[in-house]
Amino acid sequence: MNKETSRFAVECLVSGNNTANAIHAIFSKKHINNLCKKSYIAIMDRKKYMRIYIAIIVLLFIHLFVGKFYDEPYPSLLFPAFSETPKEKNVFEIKFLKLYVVDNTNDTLLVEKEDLLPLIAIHIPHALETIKLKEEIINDSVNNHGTQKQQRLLNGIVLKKKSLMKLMATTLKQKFPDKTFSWLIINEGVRRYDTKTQNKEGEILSSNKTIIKLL
Amino acid sequence: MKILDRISFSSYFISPKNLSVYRIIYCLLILTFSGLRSYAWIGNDFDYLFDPPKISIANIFNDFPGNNFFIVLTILNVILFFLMFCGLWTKYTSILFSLTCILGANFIYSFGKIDHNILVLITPLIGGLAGWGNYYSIDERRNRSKIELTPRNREYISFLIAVFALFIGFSFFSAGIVKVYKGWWHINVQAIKYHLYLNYYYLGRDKYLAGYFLRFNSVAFWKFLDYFIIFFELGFLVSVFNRKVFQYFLVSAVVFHFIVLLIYNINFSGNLLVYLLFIDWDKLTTYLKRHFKLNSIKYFIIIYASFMLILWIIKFVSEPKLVELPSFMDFFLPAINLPTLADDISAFISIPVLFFILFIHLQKKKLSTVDK
Repeated sequence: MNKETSRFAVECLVSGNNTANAIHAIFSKKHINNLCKKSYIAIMDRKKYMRIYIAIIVLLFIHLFVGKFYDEPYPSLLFPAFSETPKEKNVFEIKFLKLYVVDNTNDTLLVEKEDLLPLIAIHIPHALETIKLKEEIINDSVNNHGTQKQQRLLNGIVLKKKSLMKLMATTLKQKFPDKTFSWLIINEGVRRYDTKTQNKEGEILSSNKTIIKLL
Repeated sequence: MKILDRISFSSYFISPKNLSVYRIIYCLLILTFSGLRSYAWIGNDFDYLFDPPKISIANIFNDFPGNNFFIVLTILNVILFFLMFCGLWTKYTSILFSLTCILGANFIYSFGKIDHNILVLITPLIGGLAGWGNYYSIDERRNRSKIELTPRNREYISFLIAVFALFIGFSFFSAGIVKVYKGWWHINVQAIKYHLYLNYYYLGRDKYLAGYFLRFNSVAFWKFLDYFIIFFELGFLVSVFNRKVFQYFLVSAVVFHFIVLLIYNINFSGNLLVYLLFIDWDKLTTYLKRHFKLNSIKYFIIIYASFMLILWIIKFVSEPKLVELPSFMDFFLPAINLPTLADDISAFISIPVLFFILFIHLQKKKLSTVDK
Protein backbone atom coordinates (compact mmCIF):
# COMPACT_ATOMS: atom_id res chain seq x y z
CA MET A 1 0.00 0.00 0.00
CA ASN A 2 1.45 3.38 -0.97
CA LYS A 3 1.79 6.36 1.29
CA GLU A 4 -1.33 8.10 -0.02
CA THR A 5 -3.54 5.05 0.55
CA SER A 6 -2.24 4.53 4.06
CA ARG A 7 -2.84 8.22 4.79
CA PHE A 8 -6.37 7.85 3.46
CA ALA A 9 -6.91 4.83 5.70
CA VAL A 10 -5.66 6.77 8.66
CA GLU A 11 -7.98 9.68 7.84
CA CYS A 12 -10.96 7.35 7.59
CA LEU A 13 -10.21 5.65 10.85
CA VAL A 14 -9.61 8.89 12.70
CA SER A 15 -12.81 10.49 11.47
CA GLY A 16 -14.84 7.40 12.36
CA ASN A 17 -16.24 7.35 8.84
CA ASN A 18 -18.06 4.36 7.34
CA THR A 19 -15.27 4.07 4.83
CA ALA A 20 -13.19 2.62 7.65
CA ASN A 21 -15.25 -0.57 7.32
CA ALA A 22 -14.31 -0.73 3.67
CA ILE A 23 -10.65 -0.41 4.55
CA HIS A 24 -11.07 -3.31 7.00
CA ALA A 25 -12.59 -5.40 4.23
CA ILE A 26 -9.72 -4.76 1.85
CA PHE A 27 -6.83 -5.30 4.24
CA SER A 28 -6.26 -7.82 6.99
CA LYS A 29 -6.50 -6.57 10.55
CA LYS A 30 -2.87 -7.40 11.19
CA HIS A 31 -1.86 -5.44 8.13
CA ILE A 32 -3.85 -2.44 9.27
CA ASN A 33 -2.44 -2.77 12.77
CA ASN A 34 1.05 -2.56 11.39
CA LEU A 35 0.32 0.27 9.05
CA CYS A 36 -1.97 2.35 11.19
CA LYS A 37 -0.81 1.81 14.74
CA LYS A 38 -0.78 5.52 15.31
CA SER A 39 -4.27 5.94 13.97
CA TYR A 40 -5.62 3.34 16.40
CA ILE A 41 -4.09 5.40 19.18
CA ALA A 42 -5.84 8.40 17.65
CA ILE A 43 -9.17 6.54 17.80
CA MET A 44 -8.60 5.83 21.47
CA ASP A 45 -7.74 9.51 21.87
CA ARG A 46 -10.98 10.45 20.15
CA LYS A 47 -12.93 8.40 22.69
CA LYS A 48 -11.01 10.04 25.49
CA TYR A 49 -11.60 13.50 24.04
CA MET A 50 -15.27 12.73 23.56
CA ARG A 51 -15.57 11.89 27.26
CA ILE A 52 -13.79 15.13 28.20
CA TYR A 53 -16.01 17.05 25.77
CA ILE A 54 -19.16 15.67 27.38
CA ALA A 55 -17.76 16.46 30.84
CA ILE A 56 -17.10 20.04 29.72
CA ILE A 57 -20.69 20.37 28.48
CA VAL A 58 -22.00 19.15 31.86
CA LEU A 59 -19.71 21.58 33.71
CA LEU A 60 -20.85 24.45 31.48
CA PHE A 61 -24.49 23.79 32.38
CA ILE A 62 -23.62 23.67 36.09
CA HIS A 63 -21.78 26.96 35.55
CA LEU A 64 -24.90 28.43 33.90
CA PHE A 65 -27.13 27.26 36.74
CA VAL A 66 -24.84 28.64 39.45
CA GLY A 67 -24.30 31.89 37.55
CA LYS A 68 -27.97 32.60 37.11
CA PHE A 69 -29.41 31.35 40.39
CA TYR A 70 -26.60 32.08 42.88
CA ASP A 71 -23.93 34.55 41.77
CA GLU A 72 -22.04 34.94 38.53
CA PRO A 73 -18.57 33.47 39.06
CA TYR A 74 -15.40 34.81 37.50
CA PRO A 75 -14.02 33.73 35.06
CA SER A 76 -17.42 33.34 33.49
CA LEU A 77 -18.46 32.25 30.01
CA LEU A 78 -21.95 33.64 30.46
CA PHE A 79 -22.86 36.42 28.06
CA PRO A 80 -25.01 39.34 29.21
CA ALA A 81 -28.63 38.32 28.72
CA PHE A 82 -30.32 41.75 28.80
CA SER A 83 -33.21 39.66 30.00
CA GLU A 84 -35.38 42.24 31.78
CA THR A 85 -38.79 42.70 30.24
CA PRO A 86 -41.24 45.59 30.50
CA LYS A 87 -44.31 45.21 32.71
CA GLU A 88 -46.69 46.80 30.23
CA LYS A 89 -47.05 46.91 26.47
CA ASN A 90 -45.97 50.23 24.89
CA VAL A 91 -45.23 51.74 28.30
CA PHE A 92 -41.71 51.35 29.61
CA GLU A 93 -40.50 52.09 33.11
CA ILE A 94 -36.87 53.12 32.93
CA LYS A 95 -34.53 53.83 35.83
CA PHE A 96 -32.67 57.12 36.04
CA LEU A 97 -29.62 58.15 37.97
CA LYS A 98 -28.45 61.72 38.55
CA LEU A 99 -25.44 62.75 40.58
CA TYR A 100 -25.19 66.16 42.22
CA VAL A 101 -22.47 67.70 44.32
CA VAL A 102 -22.96 70.52 46.80
CA ASP A 103 -20.18 73.01 47.48
CA ASN A 104 -19.46 74.91 50.69
CA THR A 105 -21.68 77.82 49.56
CA ASN A 106 -24.60 75.38 49.14
CA ASP A 107 -24.53 75.61 45.35
CA THR A 108 -25.65 72.37 43.70
CA LEU A 109 -24.02 71.11 40.52
CA LEU A 110 -25.05 68.21 38.29
CA VAL A 111 -22.01 66.04 37.52
CA GLU A 112 -21.31 63.13 35.20
CA LYS A 113 -20.11 59.72 36.37
CA GLU A 114 -16.77 60.45 34.72
CA ASP A 115 -16.32 63.56 36.89
CA LEU A 116 -16.67 61.58 40.10
CA LEU A 117 -14.49 58.51 39.56
CA PRO A 118 -13.22 58.61 35.97
CA LEU A 119 -11.27 55.36 36.22
CA ILE A 120 -14.34 53.33 37.14
CA ALA A 121 -17.03 55.43 35.43
CA ILE A 122 -18.57 52.34 33.83
CA HIS A 123 -18.88 50.68 37.25
CA ILE A 124 -20.47 53.69 38.98
CA PRO A 125 -24.09 52.39 39.17
CA HIS A 126 -22.83 49.21 40.88
CA ALA A 127 -20.37 51.15 43.03
CA LEU A 128 -23.17 53.44 44.22
CA GLU A 129 -25.19 50.38 45.25
CA THR A 130 -22.21 49.24 47.34
CA ILE A 131 -21.87 52.72 48.85
CA LYS A 132 -25.56 52.84 49.82
CA LEU A 133 -25.44 49.34 51.29
CA LYS A 134 -22.40 50.16 53.41
CA GLU A 135 -23.98 53.47 54.49
CA GLU A 136 -26.85 51.43 55.92
CA ILE A 137 -24.43 49.09 57.69
CA ILE A 138 -22.61 52.06 59.21
CA ASN A 139 -25.85 53.76 60.31
CA ASP A 140 -27.21 50.53 61.85
CA SER A 141 -23.97 49.89 63.70
CA VAL A 142 -23.83 53.46 65.02
CA ASN A 143 -27.39 53.17 66.34
CA ASN A 144 -26.92 49.70 67.88
CA HIS A 145 -23.69 49.57 69.85
CA GLY A 146 -22.20 46.16 69.04
CA THR A 147 -19.39 44.13 70.54
CA GLN A 148 -15.80 45.38 70.57
CA LYS A 149 -15.00 43.29 67.50
CA GLN A 150 -17.95 44.75 65.62
CA GLN A 151 -16.82 48.23 66.57
CA ARG A 152 -13.33 47.52 65.22
CA LEU A 153 -14.83 46.29 61.94
CA LEU A 154 -16.99 49.39 61.79
CA ASN A 155 -13.97 51.64 62.33
CA GLY A 156 -12.25 49.84 59.44
CA ILE A 157 -15.22 50.47 57.13
CA VAL A 158 -15.38 54.12 58.16
CA LEU A 159 -11.67 54.56 57.40
CA LYS A 160 -12.13 53.01 53.95
CA LYS A 161 -15.10 55.29 53.34
CA LYS A 162 -13.07 58.36 54.27
CA SER A 163 -10.33 57.30 51.90
CA LEU A 164 -12.78 56.92 48.99
CA MET A 165 -14.59 60.21 49.72
CA LYS A 166 -11.25 61.99 49.82
CA LEU A 167 -10.40 60.51 46.43
CA MET A 168 -13.74 61.71 45.01
CA ALA A 169 -13.27 65.20 46.45
CA THR A 170 -9.75 65.42 45.00
CA THR A 171 -10.98 64.27 41.58
CA LEU A 172 -13.77 66.86 41.63
CA LYS A 173 -11.29 69.54 42.69
CA GLN A 174 -9.18 68.76 39.63
CA LYS A 175 -12.22 69.20 37.38
CA PHE A 176 -13.58 72.29 39.19
CA PRO A 177 -10.50 73.92 40.77
CA ASP A 178 -12.31 76.98 42.16
CA LYS A 179 -14.88 74.96 44.13
CA THR A 180 -14.75 72.77 47.20
CA PHE A 181 -17.48 70.17 47.37
CA SER A 182 -18.66 68.74 50.65
CA TRP A 183 -21.72 66.63 49.81
CA LEU A 184 -22.70 64.11 47.16
CA ILE A 185 -26.38 63.59 46.30
CA ILE A 186 -27.41 60.40 44.51
CA ASN A 187 -30.81 60.88 42.92
CA GLU A 188 -32.35 57.67 41.66
CA GLY A 189 -35.81 56.82 40.47
CA VAL A 190 -38.01 55.52 37.72
CA ARG A 191 -39.43 57.35 34.71
CA ARG A 192 -42.31 56.13 32.60
CA TYR A 193 -42.15 56.48 28.81
CA ASP A 194 -45.07 56.00 26.48
CA THR A 195 -43.69 54.73 23.18
CA LYS A 196 -46.69 56.11 21.28
CA THR A 197 -46.51 59.70 22.52
CA GLN A 198 -42.69 59.69 22.34
CA ASN A 199 -42.39 62.19 25.19
CA LYS A 200 -38.63 62.40 25.66
CA GLU A 201 -38.79 63.59 29.26
CA GLY A 202 -41.05 60.82 30.51
CA GLU A 203 -43.19 60.93 33.61
CA ILE A 204 -41.44 60.56 36.97
CA LEU A 205 -42.93 57.64 38.90
CA SER A 206 -40.57 57.57 41.85
CA SER A 207 -37.50 59.41 43.00
CA ASN A 208 -35.33 59.19 46.06
CA LYS A 209 -32.18 60.89 47.22
CA THR A 210 -29.23 59.60 49.19
CA ILE A 211 -26.94 62.25 50.67
CA ILE A 212 -23.35 61.37 51.45
CA LYS A 213 -20.76 63.55 53.13
CA LEU A 214 -17.63 63.98 51.05
CA LEU A 215 -15.44 65.97 53.42
CA MET B 1 -25.72 11.05 22.65
CA LYS B 2 -26.36 10.56 18.94
CA ILE B 3 -25.77 14.20 18.19
CA LEU B 4 -22.46 14.04 20.09
CA ASP B 5 -21.36 10.97 18.12
CA ARG B 6 -21.74 13.00 14.97
CA ILE B 7 -19.27 15.66 16.08
CA SER B 8 -16.24 15.62 13.92
CA PHE B 9 -13.48 17.26 15.91
CA SER B 10 -11.25 17.01 12.86
CA SER B 11 -13.44 19.47 10.97
CA TYR B 12 -12.18 22.10 13.42
CA PHE B 13 -8.54 21.32 12.70
CA ILE B 14 -6.23 24.28 12.07
CA SER B 15 -2.63 23.51 11.20
CA PRO B 16 0.04 24.75 13.65
CA LYS B 17 1.44 26.94 10.88
CA ASN B 18 -1.91 28.67 10.43
CA LEU B 19 -2.39 28.88 14.19
CA SER B 20 0.96 30.66 14.36
CA VAL B 21 -0.22 33.17 11.74
CA TYR B 22 -3.28 33.70 13.93
CA ARG B 23 -1.01 34.33 16.94
CA ILE B 24 0.80 37.06 15.05
CA ILE B 25 -2.46 38.65 13.87
CA TYR B 26 -4.01 38.38 17.36
CA CYS B 27 -1.04 40.23 18.87
CA LEU B 28 -0.93 42.80 16.05
CA LEU B 29 -4.61 43.63 16.49
CA ILE B 30 -4.20 43.94 20.26
CA LEU B 31 -1.26 46.29 19.71
CA THR B 32 -3.14 48.32 17.12
CA PHE B 33 -6.63 48.64 18.56
CA SER B 34 -6.98 47.77 22.22
CA GLY B 35 -3.57 47.78 23.87
CA LEU B 36 -3.29 46.16 27.28
CA ARG B 37 -5.15 47.68 30.19
CA SER B 38 -3.42 48.84 33.30
CA TYR B 39 -4.35 47.53 36.73
CA ALA B 40 -1.87 49.85 38.40
CA TRP B 41 -4.49 52.48 39.25
CA ILE B 42 -6.31 50.04 41.56
CA GLY B 43 -5.29 50.62 45.13
CA ASN B 44 -6.49 50.80 48.69
CA ASP B 45 -8.39 54.06 48.01
CA PHE B 46 -11.06 51.87 46.40
CA ASP B 47 -11.33 49.36 49.27
CA TYR B 48 -14.73 50.75 50.26
CA LEU B 49 -16.11 49.59 46.90
CA PHE B 50 -14.57 46.11 47.00
CA ASP B 51 -17.36 43.69 46.12
CA PRO B 52 -15.88 40.73 44.21
CA PRO B 53 -17.90 37.91 42.63
CA LYS B 54 -18.52 35.34 45.37
CA ILE B 55 -16.96 32.52 43.33
CA SER B 56 -13.68 34.07 42.24
CA ILE B 57 -10.03 34.37 43.22
CA ALA B 58 -10.54 38.00 44.26
CA ASN B 59 -13.00 36.87 46.92
CA ILE B 60 -10.14 35.26 48.82
CA PHE B 61 -9.01 38.79 49.67
CA ASN B 62 -10.71 41.12 52.15
CA ASP B 63 -9.72 44.25 50.22
CA PHE B 64 -7.85 45.13 47.06
CA PRO B 65 -4.22 44.07 47.40
CA GLY B 66 -1.80 46.98 47.62
CA ASN B 67 -0.96 49.20 44.66
CA ASN B 68 2.43 47.52 44.15
CA PHE B 69 0.71 44.20 43.47
CA PHE B 70 -1.16 45.74 40.56
CA ILE B 71 1.91 47.53 39.19
CA VAL B 72 3.80 44.20 39.13
CA LEU B 73 0.78 42.44 37.61
CA THR B 74 0.52 45.00 34.79
CA ILE B 75 4.24 44.91 34.00
CA LEU B 76 4.22 41.11 34.03
CA ASN B 77 1.21 41.12 31.73
CA VAL B 78 2.94 43.38 29.18
CA ILE B 79 6.19 41.39 29.28
CA LEU B 80 4.33 38.09 28.80
CA PHE B 81 2.47 39.61 25.87
CA PHE B 82 5.69 40.55 24.06
CA LEU B 83 7.25 37.15 24.82
CA MET B 84 4.15 35.47 23.40
CA PHE B 85 4.26 37.75 20.35
CA CYS B 86 7.86 36.97 19.49
CA GLY B 87 7.32 33.32 20.39
CA LEU B 88 9.68 32.67 23.26
CA TRP B 89 8.54 29.76 25.47
CA THR B 90 5.25 30.45 23.73
CA LYS B 91 3.17 27.71 25.32
CA TYR B 92 3.93 28.89 28.85
CA THR B 93 3.95 32.65 28.14
CA SER B 94 0.56 32.35 26.39
CA ILE B 95 -1.00 30.46 29.30
CA LEU B 96 0.48 32.86 31.85
CA PHE B 97 -0.61 35.87 29.76
CA SER B 98 -4.19 34.58 29.85
CA LEU B 99 -4.00 33.98 33.58
CA THR B 100 -2.61 37.44 34.38
CA CYS B 101 -5.33 39.03 32.21
CA ILE B 102 -8.02 37.03 33.99
CA LEU B 103 -6.61 37.84 37.44
CA GLY B 104 -6.42 41.58 36.66
CA ALA B 105 -9.91 41.58 35.17
CA ASN B 106 -11.19 39.75 38.26
CA PHE B 107 -10.10 42.67 40.45
CA ILE B 108 -11.51 45.26 38.04
CA TYR B 109 -14.84 43.42 38.10
CA SER B 110 -14.72 43.52 41.88
CA PHE B 111 -16.47 46.90 41.62
CA GLY B 112 -19.62 44.92 40.87
CA LYS B 113 -19.95 44.92 37.08
CA ILE B 114 -18.58 41.99 35.07
CA ASP B 115 -17.66 42.68 31.45
CA HIS B 116 -18.02 39.70 29.18
CA ASN B 117 -14.75 39.65 27.27
CA ILE B 118 -13.56 36.33 28.64
CA LEU B 119 -13.32 34.67 25.20
CA VAL B 120 -10.64 37.17 24.16
CA LEU B 121 -8.74 36.52 27.38
CA ILE B 122 -8.75 32.72 27.08
CA THR B 123 -7.77 32.71 23.39
CA PRO B 124 -4.01 32.70 24.20
CA LEU B 125 -4.55 29.84 26.65
CA ILE B 126 -6.22 27.69 23.98
CA GLY B 127 -3.74 28.86 21.33
CA GLY B 128 -0.75 28.13 23.54
CA LEU B 129 -1.95 24.61 24.26
CA ALA B 130 -2.76 24.00 20.58
CA GLY B 131 0.74 25.00 19.51
CA TRP B 132 0.34 28.49 18.07
CA GLY B 133 3.96 29.18 18.91
CA ASN B 134 5.41 26.34 16.83
CA TYR B 135 6.11 28.51 13.79
CA TYR B 136 7.14 32.12 13.11
CA SER B 137 8.66 32.25 16.57
CA ILE B 138 11.93 32.16 18.44
CA ASP B 139 10.90 28.69 19.62
CA GLU B 140 10.94 27.51 16.01
CA ARG B 141 14.44 28.92 15.51
CA ARG B 142 15.63 27.18 18.62
CA ASN B 143 14.10 24.06 17.08
CA ARG B 144 12.50 23.07 20.32
CA SER B 145 8.89 22.86 19.40
CA LYS B 146 8.86 21.72 15.80
CA ILE B 147 6.46 18.85 16.04
CA GLU B 148 5.67 16.09 13.65
CA LEU B 149 2.01 16.32 12.76
CA THR B 150 0.84 12.85 13.75
CA PRO B 151 -2.84 11.83 13.71
CA ARG B 152 -2.65 12.08 17.47
CA ASN B 153 -1.53 15.72 17.33
CA ARG B 154 -4.18 16.50 14.75
CA GLU B 155 -6.88 15.06 17.00
CA TYR B 156 -5.52 17.01 19.98
CA ILE B 157 -5.49 20.35 18.13
CA SER B 158 -8.92 19.69 16.61
CA PHE B 159 -10.30 18.86 20.05
CA LEU B 160 -8.99 22.11 21.57
CA ILE B 161 -10.44 24.24 18.76
CA ALA B 162 -13.75 22.34 19.00
CA VAL B 163 -13.87 23.07 22.74
CA PHE B 164 -13.23 26.73 22.01
CA ALA B 165 -16.11 26.68 19.51
CA LEU B 166 -18.23 25.06 22.24
CA PHE B 167 -17.37 27.96 24.58
CA ILE B 168 -18.53 30.48 21.97
CA GLY B 169 -21.76 28.57 21.33
CA PHE B 170 -22.40 28.16 25.04
CA SER B 171 -21.85 31.86 25.75
CA PHE B 172 -24.56 32.82 23.28
CA PHE B 173 -26.81 30.04 24.55
CA SER B 174 -26.46 31.27 28.14
CA ALA B 175 -27.83 34.66 27.07
CA GLY B 176 -30.65 33.08 25.05
CA ILE B 177 -31.89 30.64 27.68
CA VAL B 178 -32.18 33.40 30.30
CA LYS B 179 -34.22 35.48 27.85
CA VAL B 180 -36.64 32.58 27.45
CA TYR B 181 -36.80 32.11 31.23
CA LYS B 182 -37.55 35.82 31.77
CA GLY B 183 -40.39 35.88 29.26
CA TRP B 184 -38.98 37.33 26.04
CA TRP B 185 -41.05 34.84 24.08
CA HIS B 186 -44.35 36.28 25.32
CA ILE B 187 -46.33 37.83 22.47
CA ASN B 188 -47.14 41.02 24.42
CA VAL B 189 -43.56 41.73 25.43
CA GLN B 190 -41.40 44.07 23.36
CA ALA B 191 -38.09 43.23 24.97
CA ILE B 192 -35.64 44.58 22.40
CA LYS B 193 -37.42 47.89 22.19
CA TYR B 194 -37.51 48.11 25.98
CA HIS B 195 -33.75 47.63 26.10
CA LEU B 196 -33.33 50.28 23.43
CA TYR B 197 -35.15 52.74 25.74
CA LEU B 198 -33.07 51.56 28.70
CA ASN B 199 -29.83 52.10 26.77
CA TYR B 200 -30.93 55.41 25.32
CA TYR B 201 -32.33 57.08 28.43
CA TYR B 202 -30.64 55.36 31.39
CA LEU B 203 -27.20 54.73 29.93
CA GLY B 204 -27.16 57.64 27.48
CA ARG B 205 -26.25 55.51 24.47
CA ASP B 206 -27.76 57.73 21.78
CA LYS B 207 -25.26 57.49 18.92
CA TYR B 208 -25.61 56.15 15.34
CA LEU B 209 -29.10 54.74 14.63
CA ALA B 210 -30.37 54.62 18.23
CA GLY B 211 -32.58 57.70 17.88
CA TYR B 212 -34.03 56.56 14.57
CA PHE B 213 -35.02 53.12 15.89
CA LEU B 214 -36.41 54.65 19.08
CA ARG B 215 -39.07 56.35 16.95
CA PHE B 216 -39.79 53.18 14.95
CA ASN B 217 -43.08 51.76 16.23
CA SER B 218 -43.88 48.62 14.24
CA VAL B 219 -44.95 45.99 16.78
CA ALA B 220 -44.43 43.16 14.25
CA PHE B 221 -40.86 44.31 13.52
CA TRP B 222 -39.83 44.44 17.17
CA LYS B 223 -41.49 41.13 18.03
CA PHE B 224 -39.82 39.47 15.05
CA LEU B 225 -36.46 40.71 16.36
CA ASP B 226 -37.23 39.30 19.83
CA TYR B 227 -37.89 35.84 18.39
CA PHE B 228 -34.99 36.04 15.97
CA ILE B 229 -32.52 36.81 18.77
CA ILE B 230 -33.85 33.97 20.94
CA PHE B 231 -33.50 31.41 18.13
CA PHE B 232 -30.13 32.77 17.09
CA GLU B 233 -28.67 32.58 20.60
CA LEU B 234 -30.12 29.18 21.45
CA GLY B 235 -29.19 27.78 18.05
CA PHE B 236 -25.55 28.79 18.46
CA LEU B 237 -24.92 25.96 20.92
CA VAL B 238 -26.43 23.35 18.61
CA SER B 239 -24.46 24.73 15.67
CA VAL B 240 -21.10 23.82 17.20
CA PHE B 241 -21.82 20.15 16.46
CA ASN B 242 -21.59 20.86 12.75
CA ARG B 243 -18.60 22.89 11.57
CA LYS B 244 -20.35 24.35 8.54
CA VAL B 245 -23.49 25.37 10.42
CA PHE B 246 -21.22 26.91 13.06
CA GLN B 247 -19.62 28.97 10.31
CA TYR B 248 -23.05 30.32 9.31
CA PHE B 249 -23.68 31.30 12.92
CA LEU B 250 -20.32 33.07 13.13
CA VAL B 251 -21.16 35.09 10.02
CA SER B 252 -24.54 35.93 11.58
CA ALA B 253 -22.82 36.85 14.85
CA VAL B 254 -20.70 39.44 13.04
CA VAL B 255 -23.85 40.99 11.53
CA PHE B 256 -25.52 40.76 14.97
CA HIS B 257 -22.67 42.68 16.63
CA PHE B 258 -22.82 45.31 13.89
CA ILE B 259 -26.55 45.86 14.47
CA VAL B 260 -26.01 45.97 18.24
CA LEU B 261 -23.31 48.61 17.73
CA LEU B 262 -25.57 50.74 15.53
CA ILE B 263 -28.70 50.50 17.66
CA TYR B 264 -27.46 49.91 21.21
CA ASN B 265 -24.00 51.48 20.83
CA ILE B 266 -22.44 48.46 22.53
CA ASN B 267 -19.10 47.55 21.05
CA PHE B 268 -18.27 43.84 21.01
CA SER B 269 -15.27 44.22 18.70
CA GLY B 270 -13.18 42.07 21.07
CA ASN B 271 -15.28 39.07 20.09
CA LEU B 272 -14.40 39.61 16.44
CA LEU B 273 -10.82 38.78 17.35
CA VAL B 274 -12.08 35.41 18.59
CA TYR B 275 -14.20 34.65 15.51
CA LEU B 276 -11.15 35.39 13.38
CA LEU B 277 -9.74 32.02 14.46
CA PHE B 278 -12.38 30.29 12.34
CA ILE B 279 -11.62 31.88 8.98
CA ASP B 280 -10.21 29.97 6.03
CA TRP B 281 -6.54 30.19 6.94
CA ASP B 282 -5.30 28.27 3.91
CA LYS B 283 -6.89 30.79 1.61
CA LEU B 284 -5.57 33.75 3.57
CA THR B 285 -1.99 32.48 3.76
CA THR B 286 -2.04 31.59 0.04
CA TYR B 287 -3.27 35.12 -0.71
CA LEU B 288 -0.57 36.66 1.48
CA LYS B 289 2.12 34.55 -0.14
CA ARG B 290 0.91 35.47 -3.62
CA HIS B 291 0.58 39.21 -3.10
CA PHE B 292 3.26 40.07 -0.56
CA LYS B 293 6.85 39.22 -0.04
CA LEU B 294 6.96 37.23 3.20
CA ASN B 295 10.23 38.80 4.22
CA SER B 296 8.80 42.32 3.92
CA ILE B 297 5.81 41.32 6.09
CA LYS B 298 8.18 39.79 8.63
CA TYR B 299 10.33 42.93 8.84
CA PHE B 300 7.27 45.17 9.04
CA ILE B 301 5.92 43.16 11.99
CA ILE B 302 9.26 43.15 13.79
CA ILE B 303 9.69 46.93 13.32
CA TYR B 304 6.10 47.65 14.36
CA ALA B 305 6.26 45.49 17.50
CA SER B 306 9.65 46.96 18.45
CA PHE B 307 8.28 50.48 17.94
CA MET B 308 5.34 49.76 20.30
CA LEU B 309 7.64 48.12 22.85
CA ILE B 310 9.97 51.13 22.82
CA LEU B 311 7.00 53.50 23.21
CA TRP B 312 5.85 51.48 26.22
CA ILE B 313 9.33 51.55 27.79
CA ILE B 314 9.59 55.34 27.26
CA LYS B 315 6.12 55.83 28.77
CA PHE B 316 6.95 53.51 31.65
CA VAL B 317 10.23 55.32 32.41
CA SER B 318 8.64 58.79 32.23
CA GLU B 319 5.49 57.87 34.21
CA PRO B 320 6.17 54.71 36.25
CA LYS B 321 2.66 54.77 37.74
CA LEU B 322 0.97 54.51 34.32
CA VAL B 323 2.24 51.18 33.14
CA GLU B 324 -0.49 50.21 30.68
CA LEU B 325 0.41 49.38 27.08
CA PRO B 326 -1.50 51.90 24.95
CA SER B 327 -2.61 50.82 21.50
CA PHE B 328 -1.37 52.38 18.29
CA MET B 329 -4.82 53.98 17.96
CA ASP B 330 -4.44 55.55 21.41
CA PHE B 331 -1.37 57.33 20.08
CA PHE B 332 -2.65 58.04 16.60
CA LEU B 333 -6.31 59.10 17.02
CA PRO B 334 -5.76 61.96 19.50
CA ALA B 335 -3.28 63.35 16.96
CA ILE B 336 -6.11 63.68 14.43
CA ASN B 337 -8.68 64.77 17.04
CA LEU B 338 -10.72 61.56 17.12
CA PRO B 339 -9.90 60.14 20.56
CA THR B 340 -13.39 59.12 21.65
CA LEU B 341 -14.15 57.05 18.57
CA ALA B 342 -11.14 54.73 18.81
CA ASP B 343 -13.09 51.60 19.78
CA ASP B 344 -15.93 52.15 17.35
CA ILE B 345 -13.59 52.84 14.45
CA SER B 346 -11.93 49.48 15.00
CA ALA B 347 -15.36 47.82 14.96
CA PHE B 348 -16.49 49.64 11.82
CA ILE B 349 -13.32 48.61 10.02
CA SER B 350 -13.13 45.03 11.22
CA ILE B 351 -16.79 44.01 10.90
CA PRO B 352 -17.05 44.11 7.07
CA VAL B 353 -13.57 42.62 6.69
CA LEU B 354 -14.31 39.74 9.03
CA PHE B 355 -17.75 39.19 7.52
CA PHE B 356 -16.12 38.85 4.11
CA ILE B 357 -13.38 36.44 5.15
CA LEU B 358 -15.69 34.29 7.26
CA PHE B 359 -18.08 34.11 4.34
CA ILE B 360 -15.34 32.93 1.98
CA HIS B 361 -15.06 29.79 4.09
CA LEU B 362 -18.67 28.92 3.28
CA GLN B 363 -18.12 29.17 -0.45
CA LYS B 364 -15.82 26.18 -0.46
CA LYS B 365 -17.38 22.89 -1.43
CA LYS B 366 -15.69 20.95 1.34
CA LEU B 367 -14.12 22.24 4.53
CA SER B 368 -10.41 21.78 4.51
CA THR B 369 -9.05 19.49 7.14
CA VAL B 370 -5.75 18.68 5.52
CA ASP B 371 -2.63 20.36 6.70
CA LYS B 372 -0.97 22.03 3.77
